[in-house]
Amino acid sequence: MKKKLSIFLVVLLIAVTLAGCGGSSGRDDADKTATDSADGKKTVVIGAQTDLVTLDPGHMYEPYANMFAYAAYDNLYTVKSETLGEYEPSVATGYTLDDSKTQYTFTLRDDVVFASGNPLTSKDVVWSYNRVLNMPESNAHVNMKNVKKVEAPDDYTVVITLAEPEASFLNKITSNAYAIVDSEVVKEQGGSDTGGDTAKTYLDGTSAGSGPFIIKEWTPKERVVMERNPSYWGTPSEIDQIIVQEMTSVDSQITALKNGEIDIALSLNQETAKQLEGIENVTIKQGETALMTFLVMSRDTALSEKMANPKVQEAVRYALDYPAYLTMAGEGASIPLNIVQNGFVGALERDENFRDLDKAKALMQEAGYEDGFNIILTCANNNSEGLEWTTIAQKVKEDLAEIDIDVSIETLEATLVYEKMRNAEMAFYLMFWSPDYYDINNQFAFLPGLGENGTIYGNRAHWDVTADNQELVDLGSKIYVEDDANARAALSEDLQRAYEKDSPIATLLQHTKTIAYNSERLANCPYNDLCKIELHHLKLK
Amino acid sequence: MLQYILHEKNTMLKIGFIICLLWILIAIFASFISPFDPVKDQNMAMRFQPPGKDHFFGTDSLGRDVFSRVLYGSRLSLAAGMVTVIISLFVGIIIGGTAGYVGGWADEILMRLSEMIQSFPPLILAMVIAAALGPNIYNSVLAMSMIWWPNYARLTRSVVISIKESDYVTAARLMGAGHLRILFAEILPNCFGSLIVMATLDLGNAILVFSGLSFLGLGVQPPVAEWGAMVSDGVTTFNYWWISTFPGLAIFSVAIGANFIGDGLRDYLDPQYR
Repeated sequence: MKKKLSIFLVVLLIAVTLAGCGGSSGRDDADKTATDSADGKKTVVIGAQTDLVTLDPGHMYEPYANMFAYAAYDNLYTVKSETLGEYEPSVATGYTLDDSKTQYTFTLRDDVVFASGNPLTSKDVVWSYNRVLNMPESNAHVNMKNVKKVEAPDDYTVVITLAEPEASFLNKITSNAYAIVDSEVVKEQGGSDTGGDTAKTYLDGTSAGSGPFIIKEWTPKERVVMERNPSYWGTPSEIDQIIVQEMTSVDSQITALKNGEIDIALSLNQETAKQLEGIENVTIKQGETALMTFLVMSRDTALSEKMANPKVQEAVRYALDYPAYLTMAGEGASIPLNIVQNGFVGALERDENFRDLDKAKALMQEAGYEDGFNIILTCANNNSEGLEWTTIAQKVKEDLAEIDIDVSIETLEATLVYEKMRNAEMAFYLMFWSPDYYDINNQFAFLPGLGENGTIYGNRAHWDVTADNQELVDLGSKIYVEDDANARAALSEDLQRAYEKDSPIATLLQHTKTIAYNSERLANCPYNDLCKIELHHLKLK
Repeated sequence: MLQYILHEKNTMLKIGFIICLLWILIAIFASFISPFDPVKDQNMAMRFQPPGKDHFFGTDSLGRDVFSRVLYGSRLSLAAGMVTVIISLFVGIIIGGTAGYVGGWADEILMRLSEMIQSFPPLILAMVIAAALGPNIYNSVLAMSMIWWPNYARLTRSVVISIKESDYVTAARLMGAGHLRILFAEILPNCFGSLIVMATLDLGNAILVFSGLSFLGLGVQPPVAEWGAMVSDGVTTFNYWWISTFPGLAIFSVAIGANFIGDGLRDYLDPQYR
């Protein structure tokens, strides 16, 4: 019996120890090359949980893809360092726009060469754009839809003609769809600008661009290795090699950063970053994002007649306890009034004291549901910058209980939820939005519109254009082409105020990004939401 | 039996008995002893409070009292574990009894079926079934019962086969007893001892698997307080150790308590192990 008791005590001890250190799963075969490696190369290692599916800029669509596109390729215009949606010339030196506002004429630098040694000329730009234009199967294709034709009158001039005027075109041109590839090299590898392109396999393993780095190796779900481009036309980077190491667990990123195995941890949030506070040589940094989390309330009465009622949807907006969501998301987060994120033109913020339960209850009564009702809130097992959606959903449940809406939370696999969302099968759900390009024009996905010519969320929320919300569509089409910044801001404000009157969306949060880096090795760690870490601006100490 | 627990020098059994009794009492009286409501008392001003005098086990990401949630969590865990074991026991006795008593092709089919189920790792199979049925508490209990019954069926079958040819069973048959009477009144009482030991030992396992399913998001739906789900809450906010640790210790104590009782009962019912 004594023996059994002592075994019990040992088991107890082990269990308590395990409880103390569980969760921090071990790192597998990550190279310990954060410090300068033996061969004298200056290497920077980034720990991240990326969502890469391809490294071909003509096919990329994933939020982390632009980090690699920007390292290996150049665009005519590029995003301004550490801004949200501002741009500056890159390969182009400038542009002119004709009176019809559909024809852009870009002049190119004449000193740009590809990593292969070939000079970058207008024919490469034309070929690269035509390649994506003729790849309708590519996800990136959608950002090129408005381009009618691309021409090269001479070696250093490119003329782009749009199907219709678009004020956000220069902004779009900073995205990976418009990356310039080395047409000679890619053609040899099966590339085609007339359809039937087969160069993706080649570009998944290397790069054919003029950017500051060359992609040397990609092992999916493991790592991407990049080396400095020796013939880069701009200011060369001081870093010889960059390794982006896949680390799916936040804890392993934190441990690796503490141990000096990685230089940058990319998948933190404000709560997890607290583990790194006060540690010497580790700097925690906040970055602006355009990532929104919001509630969608479908107008489809077949899904839920009660939730589809516009009065109920307005009541939901009045019932939410906005400051609580801000607390959850942490410092730097904000609440956009509705569909225009902070940082975009004319953006308005939600008043923190917007919650008005009396008004919400009155709206419920007007709708005829003063006794409340039951509804399922579908929530993917996902998170927004580290904030678990189930946590948000539980707060929503609590808030809506105040106006007698009894919410049952249904957590499902994320892929399943996205499929249901695309098929418009959910009455009430939590969702996120990260724009494809950083301009208000991208936000028109939230305007009303059903059917093939409708909008993304018009369809997902079954919200059609009516006489009452025609104003939204009109304002949208005005903003779409307006290129005067002040006029655009004024129109944007009008749009947001009009949207406030009636919509199936309740915006909860605009998130902030938390990263941490080794400040003993790195002098800076510039972040912008489009390309995440700006690898070309990264500086060593 | 109670006398045995109280008077025999079996420390393990006593410890196990006390732990389980305590948890059963907590489960019954959770609403009286919890200082806070486990679901409704959200308080954003009190998020991530460490254990202290107001919140013995601290608070979680929504400012809820972890202590109250652990107390309430005992209801679900104990109930789910017990229901799983009872369903499996019931199904197992019927299937195992039939297989052993009828023999022949019925035995073959039923035993191959149980082997099929046992050839999968239990947690993986439970995950597959729970995910296919949709995540909620009833489905996870159903999924666990579906993987658990073969243990009881095999045990019952082996006892039935060894006894069905014995003299007293033949005597009962000669006296005109029907099949059901022979099976339930003459044969099965012989294996109740082993079945009860097995069931008690399994109770701990069932609670562990149930917590595992909830941890993976296949058990209860938030905001219901359940130990496995609470452990998983704390995984993303790892620096607030109390969020996972206390529900983890609760799972541990129940599982070990049930195991101690199982061991002790075996000593009592199966003297050869003593």
